[in-house]
Amino acid sequence: MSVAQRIRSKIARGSAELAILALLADQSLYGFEIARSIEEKTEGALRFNLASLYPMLYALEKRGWIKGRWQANRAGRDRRYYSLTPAGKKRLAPLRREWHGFFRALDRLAGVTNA
Amino acid sequence: MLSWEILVRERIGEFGVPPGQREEIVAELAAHMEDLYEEGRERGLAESEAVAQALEQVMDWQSLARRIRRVKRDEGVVNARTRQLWLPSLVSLTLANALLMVMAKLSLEPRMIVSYSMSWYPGGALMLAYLQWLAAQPLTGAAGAYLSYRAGGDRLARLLAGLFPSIVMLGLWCVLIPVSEIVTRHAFVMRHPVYFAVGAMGWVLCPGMALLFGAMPFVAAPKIQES
Repeated sequence: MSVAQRIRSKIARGSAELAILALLADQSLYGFEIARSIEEKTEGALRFNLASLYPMLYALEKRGWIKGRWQANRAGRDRRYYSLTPAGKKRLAPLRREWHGFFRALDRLAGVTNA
Repeated sequence: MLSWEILVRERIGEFGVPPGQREEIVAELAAHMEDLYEEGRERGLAESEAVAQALEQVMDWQSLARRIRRVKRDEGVVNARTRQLWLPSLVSLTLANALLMVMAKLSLEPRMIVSYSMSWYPGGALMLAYLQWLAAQPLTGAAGAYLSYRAGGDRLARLLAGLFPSIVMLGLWCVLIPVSEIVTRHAFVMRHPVYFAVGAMGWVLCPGMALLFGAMPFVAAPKIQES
């Protein structure tokens, strides 16, 4: 993997983490809802398919930032709902700051907001 | 009627996670597929088109299985608390004890470093310590704290991992030794509290300070974020 690919992969992974944690800060959602909500809220700029979403959810769960729990959805079907843990809430604030700083730095460098 | 669970189970295969965990993963992926299928049907797709659209979400099932296995297997073997606290603590404890055994094997004698003789306790008490062992304790503390730091441990985990040998010794001095003395009716400890306190200084407090000295650079360092 080239340096550029590695950077892109890191950015994609980091933005996906932030997107999921920020989404779950307000509500508990199951995988399908998470994918749809992110797609809607970012107007399609960020998309998860099944193959990219679940390894990410399991990795976040392993780190103790989110917790999955089976419960029935509105249609009465069992779905695994994810919610943010106290450790995840603690992680979200610095993650938001890091990304804010990253975009400000990029903006200073490349004038992204004026493009 | 199409069973999404059977379909997912067949495609993902045996992927090296415990059976209970595998079934839960299969059920979750199948539920997602089912939702995709129903969404497609609601948008007016024919059944076969809706199935195809759901299946398009995973181009390479073996790659998905490998990625999930990597996450889940790590989780099964050691969790974060084990990596950040218990393993580094075990390393520092083992290192401290191994050094002590080496000292004994080399027939190095403990040295007297303090002698107490007070008016209210004219018998006096000596504080003995293996000075060479004490001198090596900063390295032990540093090893425990560094391993915890490298595993992404927070400050408390790093501190506890560095001080663990002294924490264990404190437990021995405060609980095990008094209890064993009482059980064996050997009243020496009860009759000689100063000896006991001075012993605790030599085996708990002084090594604890040395361990802390070695651990401090890693305790004070900012936490590594797990990637």
